[in-house]
Amino acid sequence: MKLRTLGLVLAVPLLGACKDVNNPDLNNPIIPETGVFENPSRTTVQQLAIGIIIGSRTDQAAHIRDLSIIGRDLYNLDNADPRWVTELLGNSDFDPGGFGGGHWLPRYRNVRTANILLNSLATASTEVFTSEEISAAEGFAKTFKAFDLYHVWETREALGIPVEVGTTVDDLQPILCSDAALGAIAGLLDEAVADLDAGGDDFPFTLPPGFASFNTPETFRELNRALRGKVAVYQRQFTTALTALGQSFLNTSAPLEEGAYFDYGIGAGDTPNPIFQSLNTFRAHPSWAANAQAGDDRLAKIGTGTNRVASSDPIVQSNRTILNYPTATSQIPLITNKELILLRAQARIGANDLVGAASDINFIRLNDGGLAPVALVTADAAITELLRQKRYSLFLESGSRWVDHRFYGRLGSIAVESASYEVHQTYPIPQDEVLARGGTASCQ
Amino acid sequence: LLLVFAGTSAQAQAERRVTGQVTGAGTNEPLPGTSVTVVGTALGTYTDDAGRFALQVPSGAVTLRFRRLGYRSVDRALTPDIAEVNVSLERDVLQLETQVVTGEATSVARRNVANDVAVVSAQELDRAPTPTIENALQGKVAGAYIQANSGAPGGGMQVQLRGVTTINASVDPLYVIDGVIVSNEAVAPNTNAITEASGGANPSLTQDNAVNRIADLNPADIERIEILKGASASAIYGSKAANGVVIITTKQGVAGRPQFNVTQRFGTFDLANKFGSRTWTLEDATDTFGPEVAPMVQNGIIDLEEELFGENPLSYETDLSVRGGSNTTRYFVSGLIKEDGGIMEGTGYKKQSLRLNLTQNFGSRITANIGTNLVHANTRRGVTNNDNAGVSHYMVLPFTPSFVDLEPTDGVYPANPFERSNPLQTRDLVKSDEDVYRFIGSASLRWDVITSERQTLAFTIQGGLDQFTQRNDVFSPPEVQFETDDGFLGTSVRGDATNINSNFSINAAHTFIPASGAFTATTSAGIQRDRTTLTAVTTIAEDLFAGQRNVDLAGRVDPAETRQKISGLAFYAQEEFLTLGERLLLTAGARAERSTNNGDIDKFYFFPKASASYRIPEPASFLNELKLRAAVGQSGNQPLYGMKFTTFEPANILGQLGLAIGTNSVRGNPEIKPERQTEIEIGFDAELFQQRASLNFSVYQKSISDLILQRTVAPSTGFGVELFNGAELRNRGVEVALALTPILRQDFDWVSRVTFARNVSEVTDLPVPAFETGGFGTDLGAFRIEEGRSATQIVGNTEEGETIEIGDAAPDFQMSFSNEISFGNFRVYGLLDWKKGGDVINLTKLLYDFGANTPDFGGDDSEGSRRLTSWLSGNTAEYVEDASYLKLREVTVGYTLPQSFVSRIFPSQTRAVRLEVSGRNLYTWTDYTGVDPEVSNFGNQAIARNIDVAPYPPSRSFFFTASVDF
Repeated sequence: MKLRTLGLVLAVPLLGACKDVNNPDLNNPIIPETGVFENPSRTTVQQLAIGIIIGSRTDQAAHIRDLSIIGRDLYNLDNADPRWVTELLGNSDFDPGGFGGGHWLPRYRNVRTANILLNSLATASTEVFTSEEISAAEGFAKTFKAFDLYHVWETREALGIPVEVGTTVDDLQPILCSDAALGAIAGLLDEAVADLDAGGDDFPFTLPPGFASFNTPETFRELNRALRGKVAVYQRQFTTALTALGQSFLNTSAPLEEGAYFDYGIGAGDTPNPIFQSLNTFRAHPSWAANAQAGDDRLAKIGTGTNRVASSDPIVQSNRTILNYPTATSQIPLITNKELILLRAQARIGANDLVGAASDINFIRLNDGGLAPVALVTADAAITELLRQKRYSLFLESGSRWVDHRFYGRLGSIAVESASYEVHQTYPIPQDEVLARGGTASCQ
Repeated sequence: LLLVFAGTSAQAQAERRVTGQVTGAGTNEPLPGTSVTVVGTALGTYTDDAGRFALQVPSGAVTLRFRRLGYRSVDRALTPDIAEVNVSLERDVLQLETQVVTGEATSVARRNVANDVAVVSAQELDRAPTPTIENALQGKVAGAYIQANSGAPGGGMQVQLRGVTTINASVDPLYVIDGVIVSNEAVAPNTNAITEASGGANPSLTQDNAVNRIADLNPADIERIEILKGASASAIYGSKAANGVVIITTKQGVAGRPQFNVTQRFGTFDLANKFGSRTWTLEDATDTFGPEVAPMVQNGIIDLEEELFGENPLSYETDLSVRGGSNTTRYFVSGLIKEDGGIMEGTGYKKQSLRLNLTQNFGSRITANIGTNLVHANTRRGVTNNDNAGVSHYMVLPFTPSFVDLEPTDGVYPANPFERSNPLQTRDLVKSDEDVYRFIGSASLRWDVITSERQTLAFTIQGGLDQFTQRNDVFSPPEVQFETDDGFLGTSVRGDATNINSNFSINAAHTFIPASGAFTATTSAGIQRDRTTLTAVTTIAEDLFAGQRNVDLAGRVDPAETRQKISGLAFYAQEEFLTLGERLLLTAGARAERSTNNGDIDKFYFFPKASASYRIPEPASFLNELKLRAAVGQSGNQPLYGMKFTTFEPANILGQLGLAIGTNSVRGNPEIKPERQTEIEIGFDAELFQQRASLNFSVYQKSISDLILQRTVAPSTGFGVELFNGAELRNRGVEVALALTPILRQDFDWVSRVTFARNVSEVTDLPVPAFETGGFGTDLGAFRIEEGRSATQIVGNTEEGETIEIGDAAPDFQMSFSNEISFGNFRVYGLLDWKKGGDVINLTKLLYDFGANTPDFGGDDSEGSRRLTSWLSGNTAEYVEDASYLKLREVTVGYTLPQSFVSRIFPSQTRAVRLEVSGRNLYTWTDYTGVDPEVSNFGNQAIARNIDVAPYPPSRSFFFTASVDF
């Protein structure tokens, strides 16, 4: 009897302790297997919205850096990795498994995040959100999705890009050729506008300071239209572009730097400005200063410092330091008023309004560069001057020099270091993407 | 099962009493604790303090078996009329007679066991002073590949048993001490915060030269170590046992008056090998660095390596132990105080350990055991290994020509004009200190429910706890030269980690012997629960006040926390069937186990095993016994914590929280399950020449299926990789252990041992394209997993731009040779450890070549210049070197003072006084051109060991030991 009791005493606590709890991950919030937060809370929607901005921010500085290197505005003379010179400047193959595979995954990752928000909003309860708020949030998510996809397009252009992310890792979406891809991005932006218009007075979330001018559905619409105008320019739909830009925050009476910005911080869990963190190895391309017009105020964006020489080839060297981003918390723009004015000039050239274009270009020359106006009588001259103004006004704020030279078929006019260098036409489709698609990744 | 037997109780059916005494042959000293059993029954007892026993035996003729650790067993047949028997036992120098653990609650004589279980005794571990326990195992176990990750004081070693068993899951064997599953976690100190060896938002800290925590044990506490090398032996340990199991038994008390031992050691460490550097002529120097260096060249040659690593620190170790007790209460208490100096000033290793093991009998049926061990370890290792910030010494020396004078004047260190840091300043000011407090406690209660002539039944309840807290302080003050680089002056890193392992089991073991005595059937079964929790908090503070290191006094503070919580539940059952006059042993068992690391936490995974061995006595005149054995079994390797999850990576923008998908882009797998290893082992053990020699031979095949892999997915899905169970990998190998006693006399022994092991791995099935799993890319040499190839192949580029196999990290074979000669009061012992083949990627040399500073670097026609040019034109193989070595691991010369002398000088209770001079890693013969062919920049690795990037250089040690027993 005593033994039986003892046996029970021993067995009971052991069996009682045998239940295991299926704990969620202790270190990170879980992504639901379905990709949907059913009936999401306001907090979840708030955090997903910020998550989308973080996701876009993740690749933005690198995008600007790499496109500026290819477009010969910038060198990254980091001897720990010679590929900044060899691969990006076209001195060796653009490796689809190396640097050439960049600016793809981070953007699609964020499209997935945007889809999580969109799919979750579809299940949102009207007890928690008004239908206006749901609509506003959808407009926000779609606008950012289009923003990310547009940046992938900038790098791949004619090769095409997928414009959606599938539900599973085996659900591969078709690669759309350049026009179709831009069309889909434009469509997404237009859908977003409809959502924003039905979005009432407020977003169901608070946006960071960089979006202070766009923190209601109504004002965010102006940001959406700004992006739509940019996309339409590259679609060569110049009338559409001018209409969209007209509905954007383009304003020749407002400061040129007015716009939407990514914020950076040095707090725990935040990201310091990555360009600021690389200023040791970043140097302006020697041609940036050399080709500037005398007296251009924008030359203040660079200084003179230690000369850095590429370990792989001493022909690649520069002592012109970057002064654009002076602190770890300097903001990096998504799009600004001055870019919109230049985009309007670009659209006007396309629409054969050279007078209008010249007025916009000269506005920038005067107000950003402190330069006297120039007469632009031919479209060709207007394009040349437009490219110059974009180069100096948007220095390290976009990858526009490369994108625009390609747009105008002028990549050949970008001076390269020697005969063994070239300006890439596009980034290749990443090796992993090609392999996952069975070896071919042509667009349709 | 519990309740079936709980109601019964039986009495031994004894009808007469036999008494006697057991002594050691030659010495006539009584042998307490000798087991005396009646062959063919479950009856038995142990001898007391005076070696005496009394046992009730059945009437009629019986055979008594006398068995004691370290002695050969003796069977003595007694006619019905004999009631008194005295036995003397011969020493078992080759350990042919020991018992070997075969399950959670059972053991069997080594002569019967069906696996090649390596047993290392206290004497073998104690031959030369050792910093940590793994050092003392090097070269002693066939099939164990034990390698140091660097020469830094205080451990950091990998034990790999029978080849590569995984790619992405746990790489370490399971360590079990007195029934407690103990942690061998390596918590990184986060020197990465200053070295930037790994970048990104969530850097991997594998290059931090972390210590894996098995280093905390006090080797002097260990009675014996048994090593189960693969699944065929370890199946009963289930899904943590795929890398083998190291079962450590600590010393226990013995009945008798207190026996004290005091051992005092003094010694030192000495730099074993230097890389060397180029001797610069004035012309070479000015050609390379410009005319402005001409005045510096006047300094002549300043050997910075010697300056940095040339210390010969006084090191010491004090061991004190006492064991004793009565027949009902026995104890073992030990204490250790140890300090190993580092060959670099400011580095070193200190350890203090206290152990109490207590055994208490409650009547004749219940025995309780309690073991407690408290350890403090303090490690100061400085900053070594790969870095991208110009911190690590061997990252700076390659670019610092020998004519630069970096000595401080008036406390001010000159800036190194050639690199980002002055190594002397870094040595003096940059610290990486680690403090570990650890408690390992175990308790067990054994209840002998039935002890009769025909059957025994015992329950054992066992519980254990292993807890450590580890504190890391990495500090680089603002004035250090490289601190100006990132805009934030000064870095202080504070890490606090707590790990708790606990496990609890209930085991039952039943033996049954029929009246005929035809067989012994041992049935065991049990249930085991285990839990692990790990919490690690790290705070990185940058931008510091002069002289301040508190993490709140900083311009930028970045905290991080990671947690793990794992629990598992297992059931096992095993049947051992010993028959045909104890010649045939058949074993079958299985374990079913679940774990919260698996995708399905409720699913039990089943790991079976079966084995057979048969002893053939006297098959030939020179062959005393031949045992043929075969075993097959399965074990598992659990997914790591978190592999089943797909997660966001929370971040914020100016304090606003955001959920973004993690930048590691990993798609977790909710169906992830353990890897499964199937091992077949076949072999024989022979005892030759009147037990003067033994030979063990084994061949094995380990096949691992369901390997956890990362599948690269289309990045347009928003994920980079997905985890899944796929691939298969196979190891085949052969192991031979030969032990000889060419001379075995009262005053002259010679014991000689040779081991040989060869293992060949192959990736037999890979459902994904070949991929790299370590290294810095194919231009610098990388490990590639590829179907049909060795799992440890190293690939690199060629001048033609192809990527091909250019080496293999796995050795062709390993051998070791040890000899111990005892002559009168003298004892001489030596151990040679030979690794043939196995390549190392020598990136330290590439760095020296980059700096044009390798000893063989000179003009354009020098070997160094040719090598670098060849590499620059694409030839990776230049820096992949054969790392064969022959190391003189241990040497000891000992002298036991004559008893007559001892009794004259020392107090009368003194039993023995020994003096020893010993050394470890005294000499290395190798063609490898780095500082040490034993190296791993990435610490313990499944595959990607053998990458040499700026390691802490190796040292040899010399110790003088005085040991007194009283």
